[in-house]
Amino acid sequence: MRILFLFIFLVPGLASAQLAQNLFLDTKAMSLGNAVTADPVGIMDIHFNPAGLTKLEGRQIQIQLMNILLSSEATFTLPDEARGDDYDPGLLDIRKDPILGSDGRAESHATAAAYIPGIGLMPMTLPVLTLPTGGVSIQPPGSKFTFANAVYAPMAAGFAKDDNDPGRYQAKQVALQRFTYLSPSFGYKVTDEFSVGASFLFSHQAVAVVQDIRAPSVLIGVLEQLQTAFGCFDSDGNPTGNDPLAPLITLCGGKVGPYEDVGTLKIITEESLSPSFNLGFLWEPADWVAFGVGYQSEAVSRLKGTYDLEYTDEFANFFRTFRSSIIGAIGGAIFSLPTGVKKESGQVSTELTYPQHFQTGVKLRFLDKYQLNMDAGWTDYDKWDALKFDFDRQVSFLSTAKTLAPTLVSDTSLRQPLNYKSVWSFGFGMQYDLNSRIKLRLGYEPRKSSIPDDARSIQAPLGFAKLYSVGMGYQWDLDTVVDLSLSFMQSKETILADPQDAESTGEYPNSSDAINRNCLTCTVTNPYPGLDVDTKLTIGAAGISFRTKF
Amino acid sequence: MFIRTTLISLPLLLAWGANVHADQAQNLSKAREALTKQDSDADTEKALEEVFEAAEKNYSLLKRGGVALNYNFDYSYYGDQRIDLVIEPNLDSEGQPTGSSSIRNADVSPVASHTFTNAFTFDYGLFNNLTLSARLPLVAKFETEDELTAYALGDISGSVRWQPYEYVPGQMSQTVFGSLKLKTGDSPYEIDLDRNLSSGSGTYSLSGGLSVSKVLDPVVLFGSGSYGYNMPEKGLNQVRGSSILQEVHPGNSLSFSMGFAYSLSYDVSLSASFQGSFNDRTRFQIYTPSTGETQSSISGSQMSGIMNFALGVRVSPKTIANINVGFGMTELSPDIILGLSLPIDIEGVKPSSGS
Repeated sequence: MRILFLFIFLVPGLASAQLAQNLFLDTKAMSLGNAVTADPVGIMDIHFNPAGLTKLEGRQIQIQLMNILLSSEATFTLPDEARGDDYDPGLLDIRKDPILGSDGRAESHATAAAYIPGIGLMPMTLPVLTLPTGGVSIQPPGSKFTFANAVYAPMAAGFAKDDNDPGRYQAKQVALQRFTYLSPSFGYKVTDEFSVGASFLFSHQAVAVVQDIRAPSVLIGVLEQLQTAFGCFDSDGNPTGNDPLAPLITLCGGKVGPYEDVGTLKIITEESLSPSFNLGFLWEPADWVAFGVGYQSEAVSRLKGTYDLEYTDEFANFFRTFRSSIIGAIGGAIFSLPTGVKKESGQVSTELTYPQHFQTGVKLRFLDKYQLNMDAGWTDYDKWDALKFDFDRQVSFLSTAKTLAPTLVSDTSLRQPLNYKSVWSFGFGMQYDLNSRIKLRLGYEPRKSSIPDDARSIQAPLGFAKLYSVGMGYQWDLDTVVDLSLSFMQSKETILADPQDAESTGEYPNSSDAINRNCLTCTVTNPYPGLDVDTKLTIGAAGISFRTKF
Repeated sequence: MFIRTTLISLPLLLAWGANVHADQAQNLSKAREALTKQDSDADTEKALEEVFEAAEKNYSLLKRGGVALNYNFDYSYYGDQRIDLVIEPNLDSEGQPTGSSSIRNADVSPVASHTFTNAFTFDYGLFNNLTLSARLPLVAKFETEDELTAYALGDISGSVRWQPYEYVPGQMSQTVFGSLKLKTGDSPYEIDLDRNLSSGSGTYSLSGGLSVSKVLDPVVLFGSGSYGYNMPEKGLNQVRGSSILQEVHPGNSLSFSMGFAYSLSYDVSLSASFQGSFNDRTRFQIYTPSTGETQSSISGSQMSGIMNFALGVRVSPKTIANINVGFGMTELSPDIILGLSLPIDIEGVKPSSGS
């Protein structure tokens, strides 16, 4: 019985960090390593520094296409330690993890995904994802004000995997995105040297996750061994009809085990209006130097939506049969074990803080034709200590999971620790004026990760990443500017499994508690216990933007 | 030579003379014209109509191809008292109910709900007598009891206004209107009631009606009547106590309004109006998992009434701002209503003629 009370399931985790910040917003910014607080880019100054809008004369319109190539890979490998002949697997034999091939390896591939309101999570199977952005600005003749509005996505991260991808137990489909649909902004020229600006942003925020659940716990391992001992199933996995202790206790209703699927969980939440604001100022004391500051406020989103949990037949049958036995009926009622229903659904709420961001930068011009931009930015990811889902009713998979992880799970809530850290990050840009029409650009941005080592996972496979970019600005005619950019970014992470004695010593030197830690109370957040995990995220982007007067 | 010159000059002279005459006549008629009333003149009747239409958008139509964008800010307040009553059955020493019960908690707490709606309304004149309109509300809501806050899109709606007969000054003007409301806001039937607030009605609805107005200088009288059909919502799954709400069949509604606008001066006007609405009974289908029963619960028909007073002030020659204050006259209507409406100049977005 004890075994059953401690039944535990994997719960979803969601995470994405620097990945979301200042990426793909503006072509010129991308080509200058996002070091543009002191160097106005155009209409997207709404995001970077609204004071820069004062540079836009008359009525202007900007259209931008950012074409993104994304490849996210993860490799699961059996550690060398587990490959030895003298390896003692214990009750949870990680060598039997069915995702692993005969060589003890498995590869997971993810493509980009997006959440579309009213439709849901959409995997973007096309090789290239095109992100369009557009905006307009108006400077009334003779006015010190410039007004602007743009439609863009300040935060976008989403991945999708195939139905039988080895990575499906962690974010089979996931999207975390913020889409700003209305952004009335203004820049005000206080003096010829000094401008201020502000933007008021109305955004849509979505958090959505679909994932398969399994419970690779020692305890389920015991249960599986009992089923084997009872002879519940023949060698092909078909039920034999045996159930020796019925009607006292029945354990042969369906096949369960640490590596058997429990079901699929789908959580989709959104907030249709999430207000926030941006502020900025720009000071240009001389031709050769300029300073800028941009601030993006935080926004606390109260997301609401639905959850659907569909259990596998084996799992539902196991509990239906179990609950019909004498001990199962009593114990099940006391410990609110699953009743064997196939499906559970209802409303779910969560709260997500879009973190505040501060960025300051300097622009230096020298030798007539050269320009150097340097920015430092800080993002308040300390706010992301955990993501908590509140369910509107008792969910049986939570009721059972809480026995093992009472700090993370209650009957109606589920908490995913994130423990992200606020970091300072820098960006550098270089520009060379080839002639009066053409400006050549180079950018470099070493993007620090907010994700601590023990919170890394394959749903936010982004550690420290270097963004390299080249670009060009072309003055088409007096009123028209075309910007081009090419950028490349890669993040590689290796999350090794802990030594086998880690649980007995209580020290976990290598693993991440969000993917591969192997311990009794870790099952909730670790679907791949004991495996080495390598992640690689590669992003290439080609942007073109076109701005003209109308 | 001289004669010839004169002969040649004469027609010229005559022509010049005729020109002088013609010019004089034209000037006279211009002067007359200038003195007679022009369409663009600011007479009280015109001003009255303008302020009335600024306050009551449903009565105005745009010229063909005309566009207008309006911003409305509305605040409404609901105040209420809630009784928090906990009654527990008394148990004997063996834990069995004795049949009597005692009140553990009886607390009356005030509940306040504040709703701020920022709405943008876009109007487009398809024909001179047909105007299309779309409204996008952005809602912010606060409730003090559970300290809940919600920001959300409200229900987006679209409407058509059609004037079947050409307006004749002095006659009664009639406008037929129809509207469709989408359930883009957060539905009260699809949220976790303990944690979230709704921002919409949760149902699609269609309505149609007729509005009339008549100018009796310096007053405009107006009134309208409409019928609304609310579509039922099925396939819901909302926790209500120990039951699950599965279906909602909202009743249809009958609305009417009447009032008058009075012009105090060219710049200032006042209007007062009453809006009443009768909502037919709503049927809820509720499923109780513990008993496995599905029941229908009906909330009775209701009447709501709102009294509204508006002050229109001309803030620039083309702009009239409206401020309104109102109160609900029945239990279900808001206790306080405040509003501000302003036209947003979107002509500036387009290139001005000549440039």
